[in-house]
Amino acid sequence: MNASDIYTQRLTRYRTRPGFSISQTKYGLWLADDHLLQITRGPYRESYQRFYFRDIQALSLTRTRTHRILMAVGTLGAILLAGGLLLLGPILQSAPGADNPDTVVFSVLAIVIGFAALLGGFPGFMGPTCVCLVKTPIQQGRLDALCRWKRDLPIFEALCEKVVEAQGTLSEEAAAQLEAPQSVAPPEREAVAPLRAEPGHWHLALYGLLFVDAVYTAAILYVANPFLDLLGLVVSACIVAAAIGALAVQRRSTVPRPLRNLTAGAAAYVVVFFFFALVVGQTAAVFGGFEQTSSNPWSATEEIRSWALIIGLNWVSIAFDILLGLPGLAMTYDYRRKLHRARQAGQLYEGSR
Amino acid sequence: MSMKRLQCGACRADLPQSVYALGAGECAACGAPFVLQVFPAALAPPAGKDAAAPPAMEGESACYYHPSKKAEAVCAASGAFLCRLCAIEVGGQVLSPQAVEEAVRNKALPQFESDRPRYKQQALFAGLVGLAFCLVPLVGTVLGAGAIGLALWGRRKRGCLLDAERGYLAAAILTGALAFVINITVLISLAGAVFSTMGDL
Repeated sequence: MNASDIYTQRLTRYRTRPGFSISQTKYGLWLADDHLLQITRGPYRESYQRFYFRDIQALSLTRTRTHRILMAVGTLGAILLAGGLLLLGPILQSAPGADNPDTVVFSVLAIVIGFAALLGGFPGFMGPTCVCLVKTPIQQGRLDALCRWKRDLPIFEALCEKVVEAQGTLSEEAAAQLEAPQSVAPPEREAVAPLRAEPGHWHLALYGLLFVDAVYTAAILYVANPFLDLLGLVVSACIVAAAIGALAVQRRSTVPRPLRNLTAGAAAYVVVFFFFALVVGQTAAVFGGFEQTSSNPWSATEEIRSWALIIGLNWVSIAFDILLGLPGLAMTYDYRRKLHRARQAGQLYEGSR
Repeated sequence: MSMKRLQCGACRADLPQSVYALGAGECAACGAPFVLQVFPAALAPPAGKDAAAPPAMEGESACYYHPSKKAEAVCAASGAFLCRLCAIEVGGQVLSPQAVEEAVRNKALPQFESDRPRYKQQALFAGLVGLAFCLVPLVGTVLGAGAIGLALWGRRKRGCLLDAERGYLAAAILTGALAFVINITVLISLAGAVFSTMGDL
């Protein structure tokens, strides 16, 4: 008998666990009439694990926080790597006896490596991660192929149906044998107060301002105008205020979880990037060997703006503003629309915790 | 209830039994949301307790392996009578333990395979390492030749249970051959250089 006659239905493609791995082990699920097969495909060996439907006592799917860690590592890595490379150009340029290396090269490298680091954290941006456990009388196995909450929830439900087909459902008497839920105090987390309906003004302001900042930064790359610099200061201050406000109001509110995560990421970017820009700006002003050749301070600003370091920083800023601003605007719009519809229908928008 | 406690997939803390019937909830330890379903097998007695084969009465057929036990099935491979303990159902057939053992040894029952080596991937890796060993041509030559040998030896063996591995064999043989040719050329050149130097001396 061939394996292809037994395993007629592929349940999932071969997938790696979300995260950084050197071994590149992949996991796939196949269905047979009476059991589930998990294939663990290593580079040089393939191993198999079978779970018979009649033996499965319980199936659980738990949402994990791995994607947040990956997102944070990717974003921070991008900022640090790009920032480090941007600093390297001027440092090499100012070294005694240096042959004035082309700092534009470092700027381009910074952008490329920054995006590469972001791509490294890409698995984190693919959605919430999860862990699927299978309980049998003798073991508790893990189905590694089911690792994304939203994508794999339907597969989990299909699996449950297969087991129900093989075993039937628990009768009421049998369920009572497990333990009567009403006799036990409900978990503490279920007793929290209802979520507050947050209209999302701060979020709209934050992502709108990030988008404005992208346009403004692109403008100052080509137009030298002192008023634009003043406007930049005002925009930056407003962005910081909006980020703090959005972070404060989204706690225990109906703001959806992805938007909350994005806002936290945007706030981290704003703080880290502005702090970084401040440090770089101060360092450049003090140690950059800047000579004010004109009595007009704006001509000095113009000179600073032509530095490769500043150009690179501006490009990184544009990239992040767009990467965070556009999805943020879209998500905020979607959330506000749902909230508005729920209010019009006289319902309570539940959101997500 | 025969089931041990379920664990949270995120923090591995034991979940309270009160959530088993709820179907969804949040872990009290880490707050991770989960969905779960418990099935009737959770309440079933441990396997084996009711599997004890009844003894054979006078005039009844007895198990080939346990003459004191009543025969309840016939092995599809050997035709031997089997008691409840010895009858193993595999893919709609009943087999004796011996027949199953033999089938597993001959890899005739995919349901019982636990792992498979992937020879073609191993050969490809050996070939790539052989290419990388150009500076140590003797090792590289051996690895290149080994890659070709391993690929040819494993060409008829299926490395994957369910998927065709197209291209790996050709890639492994090509890489192995390339590693072999490059390394042997370097080796011959080195040997020629050494001999000519010795000749000059």
